[in-house]
Amino acid sequence: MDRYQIHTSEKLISIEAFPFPILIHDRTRIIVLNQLGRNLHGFQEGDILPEDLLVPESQEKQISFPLERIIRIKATDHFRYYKCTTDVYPFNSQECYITILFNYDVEQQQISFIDKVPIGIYETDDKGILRNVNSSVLHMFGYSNKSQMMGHPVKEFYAYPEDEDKIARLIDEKGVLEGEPVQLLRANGKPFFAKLYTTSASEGGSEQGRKGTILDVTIEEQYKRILQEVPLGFYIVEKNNNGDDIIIECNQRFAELFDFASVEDVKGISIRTLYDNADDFNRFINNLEDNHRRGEALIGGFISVQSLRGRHFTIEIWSRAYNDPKDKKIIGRVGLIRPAPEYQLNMLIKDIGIVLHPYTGMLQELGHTLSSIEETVFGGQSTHAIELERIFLEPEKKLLDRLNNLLLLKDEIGRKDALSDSAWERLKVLHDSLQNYRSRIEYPGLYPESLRGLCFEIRSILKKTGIGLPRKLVREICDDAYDIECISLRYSIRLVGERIVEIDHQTKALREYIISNAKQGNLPEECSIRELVKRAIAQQALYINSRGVDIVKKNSKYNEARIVAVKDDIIRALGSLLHNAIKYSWKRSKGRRPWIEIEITKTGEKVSVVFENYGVPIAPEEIETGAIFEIGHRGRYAGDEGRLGSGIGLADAKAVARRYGGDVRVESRPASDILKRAENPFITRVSFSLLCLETTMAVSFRKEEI
Amino acid sequence: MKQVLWVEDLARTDFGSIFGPVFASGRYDIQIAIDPTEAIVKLKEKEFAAVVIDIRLLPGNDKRWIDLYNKCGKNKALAQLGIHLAQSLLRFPDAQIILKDSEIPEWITANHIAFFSVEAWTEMEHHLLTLGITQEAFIEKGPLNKRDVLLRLIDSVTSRTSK
Repeated sequence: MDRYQIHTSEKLISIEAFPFPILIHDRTRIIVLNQLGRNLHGFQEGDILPEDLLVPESQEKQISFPLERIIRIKATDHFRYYKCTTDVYPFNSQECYITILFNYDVEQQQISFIDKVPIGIYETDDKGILRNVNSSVLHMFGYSNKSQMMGHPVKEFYAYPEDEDKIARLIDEKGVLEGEPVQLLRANGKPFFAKLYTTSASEGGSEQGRKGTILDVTIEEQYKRILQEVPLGFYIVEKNNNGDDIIIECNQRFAELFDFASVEDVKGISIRTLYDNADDFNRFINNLEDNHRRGEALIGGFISVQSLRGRHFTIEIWSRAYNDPKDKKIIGRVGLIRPAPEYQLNMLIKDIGIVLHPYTGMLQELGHTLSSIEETVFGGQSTHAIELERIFLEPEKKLLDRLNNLLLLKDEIGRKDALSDSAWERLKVLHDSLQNYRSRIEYPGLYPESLRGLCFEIRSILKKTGIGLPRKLVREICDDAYDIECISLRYSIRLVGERIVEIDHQTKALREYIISNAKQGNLPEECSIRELVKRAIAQQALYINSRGVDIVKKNSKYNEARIVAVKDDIIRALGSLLHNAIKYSWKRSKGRRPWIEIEITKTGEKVSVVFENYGVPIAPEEIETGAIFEIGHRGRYAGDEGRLGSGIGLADAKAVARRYGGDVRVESRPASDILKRAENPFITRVSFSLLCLETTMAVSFRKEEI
Repeated sequence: MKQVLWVEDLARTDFGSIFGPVFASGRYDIQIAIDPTEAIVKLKEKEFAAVVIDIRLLPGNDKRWIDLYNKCGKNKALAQLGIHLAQSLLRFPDAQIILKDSEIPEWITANHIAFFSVEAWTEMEHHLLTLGITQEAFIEKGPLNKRDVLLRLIDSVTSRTSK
């Protein structure tokens, strides 16, 4: 641009010919301007100059002309940038100035933007020499002047100069780098962490170089390193489009806890696969969401998980959800985990052990004492609870007949005074109660104690009898009543004895359940399902004997099916289901003890152990709602004839089955279409299924072992 | 013979020894309901001189009681359905379950109701006094209870309702 051309023109018309806004002015005011100058924001002759165009006093500041400036002038709703050149210009014999303005908007905005963005932007030539950097790069590296960087090889700015060769090679290979981590060097010699987003640059196809951005990630990297090094598992989960919770970040400790070889192997998997069962997972998510709504994190919850290799253990978890700022929906969470602390586990086991030890001893002592009483007082033969319906029939008939005979004597002369009126009246009431108790008492379990009360009172009244009643008849009535009291007592002793065995089982089941969920478990191994059933039966042998039931194992072609599981888990679950089947069994046919049928079946990939018993029903609504599988739930009919339900067995069995890809299904139907009431026997089938190891797999597995 | 309803889920199994004296007394015809669902049905069948209620009950198969039980954490100790049953029967303003008029017997008053439960009176008095049920109509279950504990409680209630 030759701005001095216009010096030749003192004619105003000459400045109209130039395609730029031109102003002739003194230090503060416009004297004359061309049309383009007028168009420029409506300037007129005589207007005060915009502040940016004022010419400073030469005395105040050393000014050399031509004066180059970039100014901005407010347009209607934004600023426009102009590059201005101002020179001394004598006009009408006065010392004036001429200013030519060039539109500078686009270029200036770009430069301004690039310079001000908080991301480092740089450019190199094909020799790897820095050609341009923005202010953020200067700030990031701690330099004050671009000249301290521009013109220098980029290698100088790496903490490890050899990284530059790697970067150059990667760009050659990929064409672009997206977030390549490097360590760079600040002006003071301290390294810092950065990520490079770089691509090759060409200008007109001739000159090759690179341009890109540098992101200072020192803080993030430091946090990341801390999280990698903390002795806790750290993870970040985000929901994908399908709503699955995907692990997008974790540390090495997390990967190790779940038996993954590396962090990269964990990233991208659904975190659900690491939880032991869906119910626990859903409960955890509900708690997390509840806490999130209150603005709180979930602190220190316990949850069962499984590793890649199928190891089951319990972790303690701290987690906080985060949401989409727009719709507030939860889109992910961060969490820290650790295995359930060993010291807590030890305390737990120790506590349970301390409680269990005297408890077991005490129960054993009680059981033996009751057996001794039963043997000594009643002889060797024991009366089983399930014979309750008929054990009173004979003695009660005898007692009723004799009591009836006695009551008939009341009106005979000389007999009436043997007892008071109220005693006669009371005897009549007791007789009627004895006659009608079966229809008046809804549940047979309540017969013995009621009869004992009646009989005791009959004896008490007759003890006070005076002269006038046949002594033989009175003695026989007292003996009959006493017999019934003894049977009743014997029934109660038997019932208490069974309960002691029950409580002992429950205590042990509870201990096993707690410990199995608290400790890091054994690894799964291949095993025969039949073998596990056999061991579960052996574990329940005492109870089987105590309840007087038979176990009928049905032949099945799937008896040889094999599974992969932690044996103790399966034995415990099968034991609980068998225990239930025994506990809720009634006598099925005359002359034969109650029995449980056990069958191994297979459907698709799953092998099932099916327990079938005849006896106490399970209410349909409890099956439909899944209530029977809740910890602590005691079924509506679980207390039948004094049986205790622990509320652990079914819940634990289901959790175990699900852990190994199976489930527990329960059906309970009336044994007869005619007898549908719950007081009548039901046939209950409980099916415990597991993923079966296919025969071929099993064979190859065994070969490898060999 | 006076009619008594005992609402107790473990009545037929755990409490034979205290049921016996009531039966043997010959004064009462005692019926058992094991949950609120069954209690509502039995209360409509006849007039009872006493209704003895346990606090910790399972819901039975009536959806209203099931929903309330689930809402209260699926735990009978927390749900305290026995208290809710009394509140509903006595048309307590804050009752969680509003029974139909046809489900509430006309004869029932706070005087008919007693509680026999493992909770202590001090835990429950707030609920019970607002219903008009006093400490005389409340006995805490425990191993030191005598065999005639239920009989005494029923005697106490029936002495009020017979007047």
